[in-house]
Amino acid sequence: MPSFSNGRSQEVAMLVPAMLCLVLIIVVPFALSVGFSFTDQRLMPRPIPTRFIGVTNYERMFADRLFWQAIGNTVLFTVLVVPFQLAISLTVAMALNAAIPFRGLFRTVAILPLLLPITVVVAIWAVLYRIPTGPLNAVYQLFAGSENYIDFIGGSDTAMVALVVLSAWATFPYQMLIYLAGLQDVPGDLYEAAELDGATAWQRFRFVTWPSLRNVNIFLLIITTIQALKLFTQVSVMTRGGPNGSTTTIIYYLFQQGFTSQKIGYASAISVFFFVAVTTIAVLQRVFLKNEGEA
Amino acid sequence: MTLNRLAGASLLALALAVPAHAGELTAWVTDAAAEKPYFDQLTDAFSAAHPEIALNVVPVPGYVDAIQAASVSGSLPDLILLDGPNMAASAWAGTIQPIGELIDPALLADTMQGVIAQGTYGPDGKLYHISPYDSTVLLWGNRSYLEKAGVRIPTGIDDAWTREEFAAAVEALSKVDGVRWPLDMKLNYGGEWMTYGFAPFIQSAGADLINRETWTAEGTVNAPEAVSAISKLQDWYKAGWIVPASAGDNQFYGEKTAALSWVGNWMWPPHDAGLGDDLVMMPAPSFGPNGVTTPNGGWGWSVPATTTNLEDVSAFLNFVMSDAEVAKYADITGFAPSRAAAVPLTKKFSTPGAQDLFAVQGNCCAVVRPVHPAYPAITLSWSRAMLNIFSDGAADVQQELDGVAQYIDLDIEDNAGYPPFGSN
Amino acid sequence: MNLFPRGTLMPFLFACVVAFGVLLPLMMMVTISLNPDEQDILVSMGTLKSFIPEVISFQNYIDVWTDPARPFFRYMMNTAIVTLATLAISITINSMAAFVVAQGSLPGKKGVLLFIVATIAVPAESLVLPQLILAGKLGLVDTYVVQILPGIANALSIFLFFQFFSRIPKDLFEAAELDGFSFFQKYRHIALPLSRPVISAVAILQFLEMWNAYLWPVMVTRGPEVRPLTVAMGAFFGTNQRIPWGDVMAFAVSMAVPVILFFLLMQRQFIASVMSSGVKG
Repeated sequence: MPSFSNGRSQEVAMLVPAMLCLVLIIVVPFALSVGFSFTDQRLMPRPIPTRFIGVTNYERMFADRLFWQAIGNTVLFTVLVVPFQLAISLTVAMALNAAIPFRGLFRTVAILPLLLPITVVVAIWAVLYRIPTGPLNAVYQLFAGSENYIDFIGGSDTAMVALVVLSAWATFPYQMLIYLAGLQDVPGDLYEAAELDGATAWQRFRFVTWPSLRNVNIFLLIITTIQALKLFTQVSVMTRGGPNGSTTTIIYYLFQQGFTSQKIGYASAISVFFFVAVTTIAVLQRVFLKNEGEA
Repeated sequence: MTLNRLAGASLLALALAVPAHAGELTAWVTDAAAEKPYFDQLTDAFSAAHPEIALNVVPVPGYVDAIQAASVSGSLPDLILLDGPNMAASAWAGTIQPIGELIDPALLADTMQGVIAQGTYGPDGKLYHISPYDSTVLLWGNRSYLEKAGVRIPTGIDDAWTREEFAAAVEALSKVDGVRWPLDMKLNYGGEWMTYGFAPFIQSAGADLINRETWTAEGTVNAPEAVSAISKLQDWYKAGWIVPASAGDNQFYGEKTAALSWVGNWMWPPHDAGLGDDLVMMPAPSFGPNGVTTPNGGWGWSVPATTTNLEDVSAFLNFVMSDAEVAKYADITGFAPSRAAAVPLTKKFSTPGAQDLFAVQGNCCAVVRPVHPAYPAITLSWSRAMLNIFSDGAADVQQELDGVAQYIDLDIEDNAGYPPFGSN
Repeated sequence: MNLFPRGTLMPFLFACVVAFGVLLPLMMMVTISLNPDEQDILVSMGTLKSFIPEVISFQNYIDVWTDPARPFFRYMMNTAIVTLATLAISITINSMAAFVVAQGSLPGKKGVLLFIVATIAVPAESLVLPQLILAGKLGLVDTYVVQILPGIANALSIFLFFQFFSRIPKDLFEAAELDGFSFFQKYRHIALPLSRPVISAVAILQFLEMWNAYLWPVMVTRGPEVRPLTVAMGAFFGTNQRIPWGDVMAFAVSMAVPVILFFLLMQRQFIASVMSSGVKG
């Protein structure tokens, strides 16, 4: 390339592989999704031609009770898991930031769940939640009598909560580590000053720790929310969307429609919707929660 | 337009799939517990009979998703196991080929009619699927619980329980000490079982999954008879009389907290091991005017359209459908042999016994699941409705079955009636 | 000696609760995996017997390691190949691209950066279906490549490298230019050696992602040739199956132990890396 110096052609060569991957994995599939969403495309070839059907898929989607149920479930999961998981992570981080005995050992133990793949975590919790006998029900039966039990994953009120607890257990160490890093950045003299002023533990947390964690909180809020909106594996392996559809999330519904039922056209309309919704949420969170120091 | 080219490309990918070499055969099978011992020995048994062909039997965990992934890439093996009712969809799409001419006519001559019917594709009348077994569903009982409850134990089709008697039995059993749930209906299975095991109740009552003449579901799957039959079962569920899905598989034969189990003959070996002399085999109940109604069929062999080494495939099919192999399959799995000549060779079916019910029900009362390309849509929507109805939250039966009818009819419409089906 | 300096008793007690909350389920996993009797496993669920081994038998481990239908070590190799290849390729190409955007002189750099930032928020899960069709069209279904590709297209990793590279003082590079370093050499011999912390941060994030990958491999793999461990694990919960808990837990332990051992060896770096991955976000 004559117009480029040697340095510039090197730059192009170094930039292109990553850009090509992004285009191939993100841009092209997104364009395909948009295209498919206006057709009755199927996953497998079939002996009748694929047709352009206008906005039919979108019309069906907005009238689809199960689609709205999936949206509702996904929002519910997110609204439950994000505060719950962040609260646990922060509390554990504060405990493990204090000068307690065996602190290193406690930190090691607390990180373990993060190292288990989610399918293993599901297997463990499937046993914990078992009915009629199972560890959690054994505890419950101490109070409620041996003939009673709670069907954690089979109850339409409890299944989502069961997934929330399992998911928080599985991934809280990540947020905890980030909080630990944030806590270590809080200037020690702020605490000393607060203590001289006679602040209680709660006041120290409320007026020193919490404000100092602003940037960390924003970061964690965004990534935890996006993670929660993508819930799939736990549902697919443990509840299969039930009972009575109460744990069917949007990604699980997408998988059912596009892969199991092979309706690529319809599923594409759902993906376009999901894509737009998640991107909007991410941008909104970013706009409304500016980092300290940003205008 | 690009989408058509894309569809064309997937067809091309199918056509380009690498054909196996002559003398080599790969067959994919499920890893289901009941069949596993049979498939484990199949390679050795086949090699002994056909040393010139190297057979590779691959048990695939997560079988249904795996077959789907392989179909997308056009990389199916020479032979696959296919669940019988899904044959029509694959034949319609052109992903499997006819196999009738690959099998010795003498073997097909004494194959049970229900098995042939499930494997025969309507539009061309050709055989695409063959199974060494037939299946059925029984009411299995725990004798001591039944006796404690003072419940009559039927012995044959003619004195099978009616809907009312069944209801009375379940209620009586619910009061017996040691019984936590009177009835296990295998809700933990999910999937195809929900169609296989629950459609007979509405068929007995006078409804069906789909009208088999007009191929529409509206007015058939959500007919009042269907709603009433399923509502009856749901009442039992609401009363806490049916084992919930999350209680696992073994409440009847392991923990013995369930008194009755509604499940297929593949559970014979574990039931036998768990209950021994306490095990009673009872006919399916008569849930309505059509009397005792049972499902049939199941997994069997199909040959992908991409397979070219048909001589080897033919040797394989004739081997697995031979008298000795069909008998062996039945003895290992507990399924009934699909060929008459195999029956005397079996240990479990050659002498009269309780298991005669399998054959009796297969002959008198079996209704083949609809042989139609829309079956995947039928079973998907129906089983989802069943899971919703028999779960905590107990979905409204009428609303769920209306949803099933709508889903099926929309699928058929979306596929232009699945020509040539729509055109008659 | 005062074991608990002022204000540390409560945190200590809480830490104990957390440790129990983490360890009890893990002890149960190990205990069940050591019990060869399925019936006994079911009967003793919910009693202390499912947390403290009464019998120690490796029968379940032998079973899952030698099951031809579920070749554990093949799955493990698949997971290792896919994960390591993803990490290696992703770190290479994404750090190169980031270096161009941070220190290069190409026109339109700003636009590229904007594109990368915009892509970070894209939920990859919403694109699996067109990706599957594309993979089918390219003949990539059921290969290692198809599992590696989505992982290396990683805008977040480019962005983390970009942040790091743009903070490297310019004079370091100017000195190198005087020595006749080309652009690539500046990247290879100056920037890369400095970026160990960000490399390990990116590697850990990506490792966790690959280690949990489930949706995509379920869709694009079938036989044991290329399937990863996670999918094999999920298949235990398929329909029509009596779940063999002893085998499931032995499989789970076998899967988790190598990673936990590796973590224990590299603990310090691991904690430091994860901690550094978020704060500046």
